[in-house]
Amino acid sequence: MTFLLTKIFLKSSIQKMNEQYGVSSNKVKKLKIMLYAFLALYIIGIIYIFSYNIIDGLREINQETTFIGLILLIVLGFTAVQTIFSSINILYFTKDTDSLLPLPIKPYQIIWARTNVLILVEYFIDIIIGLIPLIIYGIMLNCGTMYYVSAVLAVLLLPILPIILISLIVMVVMSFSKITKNKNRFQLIATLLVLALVIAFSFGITQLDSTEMTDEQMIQMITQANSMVNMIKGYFPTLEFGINAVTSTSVITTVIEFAKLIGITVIAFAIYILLAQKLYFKGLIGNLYGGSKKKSFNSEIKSKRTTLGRVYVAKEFKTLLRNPVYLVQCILPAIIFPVLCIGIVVFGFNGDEAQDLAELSAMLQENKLLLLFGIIAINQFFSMIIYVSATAISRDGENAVFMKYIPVSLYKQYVYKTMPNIIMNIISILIVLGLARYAVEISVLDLVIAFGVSTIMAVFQSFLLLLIDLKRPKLKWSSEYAVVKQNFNLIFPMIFSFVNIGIIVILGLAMEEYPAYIPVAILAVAFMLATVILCGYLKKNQYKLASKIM
Amino acid sequence: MIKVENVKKKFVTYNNKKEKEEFYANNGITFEANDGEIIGILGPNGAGKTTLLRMVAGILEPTEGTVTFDKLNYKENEIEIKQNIAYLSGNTKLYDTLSTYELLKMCADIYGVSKENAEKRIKELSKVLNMDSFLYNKIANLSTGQTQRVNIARCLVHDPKYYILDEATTGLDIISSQIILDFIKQEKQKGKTILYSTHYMEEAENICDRVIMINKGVVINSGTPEKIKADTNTTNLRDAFFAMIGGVSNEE
Amino acid sequence: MIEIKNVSKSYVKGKKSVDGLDLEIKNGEIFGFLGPNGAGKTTTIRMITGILEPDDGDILVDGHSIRKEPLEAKKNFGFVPDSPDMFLKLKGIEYLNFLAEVYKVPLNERKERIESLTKKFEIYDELNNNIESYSHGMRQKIVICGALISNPKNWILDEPMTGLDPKASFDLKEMMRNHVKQGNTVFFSTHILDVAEKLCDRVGIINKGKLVFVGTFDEMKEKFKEETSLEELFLEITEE
Repeated sequence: MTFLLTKIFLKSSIQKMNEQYGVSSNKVKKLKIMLYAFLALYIIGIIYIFSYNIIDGLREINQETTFIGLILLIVLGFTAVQTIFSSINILYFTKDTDSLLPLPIKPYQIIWARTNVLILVEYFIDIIIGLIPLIIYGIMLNCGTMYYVSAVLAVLLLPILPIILISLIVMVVMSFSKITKNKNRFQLIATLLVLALVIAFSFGITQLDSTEMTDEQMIQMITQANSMVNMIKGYFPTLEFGINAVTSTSVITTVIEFAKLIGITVIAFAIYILLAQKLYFKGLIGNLYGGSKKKSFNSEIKSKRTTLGRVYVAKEFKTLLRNPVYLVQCILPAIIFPVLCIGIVVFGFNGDEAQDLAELSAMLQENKLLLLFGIIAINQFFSMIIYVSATAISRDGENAVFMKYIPVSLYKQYVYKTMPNIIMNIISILIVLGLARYAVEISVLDLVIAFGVSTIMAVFQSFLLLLIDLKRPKLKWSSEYAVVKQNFNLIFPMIFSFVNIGIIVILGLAMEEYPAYIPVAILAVAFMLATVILCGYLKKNQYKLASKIM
Repeated sequence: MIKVENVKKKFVTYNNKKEKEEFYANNGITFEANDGEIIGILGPNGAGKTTLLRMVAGILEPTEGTVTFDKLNYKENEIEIKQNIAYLSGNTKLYDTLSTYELLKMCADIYGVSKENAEKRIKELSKVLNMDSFLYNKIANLSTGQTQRVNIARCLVHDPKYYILDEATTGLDIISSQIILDFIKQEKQKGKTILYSTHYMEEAENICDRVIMINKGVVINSGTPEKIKADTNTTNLRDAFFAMIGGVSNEE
Repeated sequence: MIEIKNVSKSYVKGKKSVDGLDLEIKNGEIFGFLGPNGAGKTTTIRMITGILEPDDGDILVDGHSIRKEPLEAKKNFGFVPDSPDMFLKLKGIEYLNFLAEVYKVPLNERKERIESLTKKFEIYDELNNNIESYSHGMRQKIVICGALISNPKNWILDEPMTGLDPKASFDLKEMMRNHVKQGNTVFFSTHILDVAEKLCDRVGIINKGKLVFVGTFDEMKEKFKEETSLEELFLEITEE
């Protein structure tokens, strides 16, 4: 029964993940698989480089076994952190609990099966960050079969203890609080944290890259690593057993150490199941069925003057901001992406590079066209990931027909729906201009011009993307992820950005000789005209364009 | 027979001022359901119907009172009882990448039904609930009416004795509703014990032998539809209900 | 008043989902629209409300053509669609305020209308919560409140009773009766024959895109002259 349940839960977890990460039509699927394959190779490549360097360095000072301790420690660490989120998701946020409770299944079977899924999901990451470095180690040091067997066993067995410990803590917490009421908020926080970690990590990596380590620094790092491992060993005897088992050369020692490891793990698991039986369901049921009676509505009903435009655009923003999926996929990138890219470039510069920056600044002062067009092109680049207009209709899903039966002209609604995209673009433009001003010398006039032209282009783009969504809306979806991930329309922002950048480059090259403001003016006028024509088209054909909405 | 004796369920919530508040979703409910009977559980939203049925199905534990099935109770015989219950609540699409057949097979496995029996039973249910036309379709592609029939089928694969159906026909079109109601009437003939909660008073009058009317967590009247109508001097259950809660009732 | 004049619509070439529908819903009447799934009910309602454009024919709401004067026509009806899952991220009050602005409800009347509607349906206390947190029945109620907030002359409701508890159902029916007493129109589609019989002045039955019957329930029983139950009568009519 437990096995059967494990199978069922695993399947539904994978299904959920597919939903989130988008598995769609065959064309896109192949592209995605290729992309993930590249990504995987890239990551393996990085891991290889790191491992190789570290092991090499360690070999010189005869401390190679420290590497194993380090890797196993990292596995434990990753597992611990990841389990905090995945345990809440898998144990409490699945939709099938309601149907499971009345079935003739013993409580411990449900917990066991769910824990199995947690462990299996964890293995996925552990194999990448744990097994691969260990295999590289084995290859470099010519280890025998026993080593490889031990490595595999260690990677499979070690994570179990932290998983069940953390799950237990989570269960205790959940039995007292009502976190599940804020499922969306929780996932939002989780995503933001992960983002923050990724950003911090990338900053960290750029730092590491640029410094070369002397032998002394190496030894210092090793000592630090060693002391950390020893400290954790104290709390987690299994770590010690694991390390010993993998590093020892005698079969007997290895077997004994593994016996100890397995022994403790099994006992811990048994205790876990016993305790979980009481704790898990209390929290689960309390969160599912707690009768909720929120009290009186004391707020004033608004009777203040406002316009339809303001209200409508506000409504669009509320949907964007309050929906974690849309927030993270449509709004945040517009802000984080420019900050990240330019931030790394600008702030990552230290020492000699600051000099380069000054030279760049001087050069740009001479070549105003390059300066202005450069900024405008950068803005176009960053508008590539603003998916607001491109999903303006699709986000409403089956509700999109609302637009057609209210007494508001469709054209006006098109404009209102485009505004959020324009506003997000403006925010992005302002960020870029701010950072540019920090990095190089730009006059206020030029800033204003850059702002103006970038905005005009953004306006045109926004309307164009709305047109695309009107022509091919994605209205039948059961999860918002389908709108922001499995949506072919999302290619268009990228295409348009690149086309525009192309136009900018060609125009710039063609008119190199002219005073800078002339090509800039041409660009501005061209896009203004284009916008007017586009809006005219939208107005004239407003009903026909909405024919796909039904 | 299902016996519900003085069952109460207390919930603790926090109001806007973050103060602890207790309220009783069920405050002393007692009734019996005999074999071969369809008992209707009627009442408005928030009356406590769903909470009651959840306790009968063993999902929630009563704060006070007992629920017994032919002398068996949840404390000692949980698995045995659940092995004999069909519980349906709401209209959820579960594991909707599976086909109807696959889902039924999966449920049969969970209930421990043998392979041959499962095959037989699935065929039977498919015929009776008119599911042959979509037996191998993915659940995600089914209409609401079809999904609900699948939901009913999946809680019956193990041929249980007790049916607990919470709003089985809410939101269904007339044909699907009728199929389900006819089906329930048939099951009653087989001697099953059926608890049936609904919003639709007309349905209750149509198929229930006896009816329990609940409002605000307590039973306000019970008995055959005739008895209740006589009690309140009305001609249909809807009017009877409003008469009892003191609401105005004029359908003309 | 709603006039449907010889309206047709095909989704697929050669197959008409609605075929030459001709119907007049008069002022002061509650009109029930019945038919099995796939008969063309939803398509018809979508054409009346402007969501779909008829291939042929026209629809007039209080004399305004939905094709030629769409905005005017739309000002004159309130529509409750069959799926109430709207704008889930908005709070109830935000949704109602939004609609009040869309339908240009005078500022000084908004508060009173919102209060009276939501108190009647007993969702006043929930107005500060996201619609996402509402049960199906509550979502239905907020959508109904939203549709009625501008006090439109014509009410168009697609399966409005689904998911409503008896009291809310009762209240809605009462409101419908009061509304038409003042000379207005209610047009709604439903599955529940019982409700249709007790509530509607006239009914129209559509099957396979064509109108197979229009009239009162008594006329229907007369025409088919049998002492069968409503369901059987209905099934018989739609079998043909």
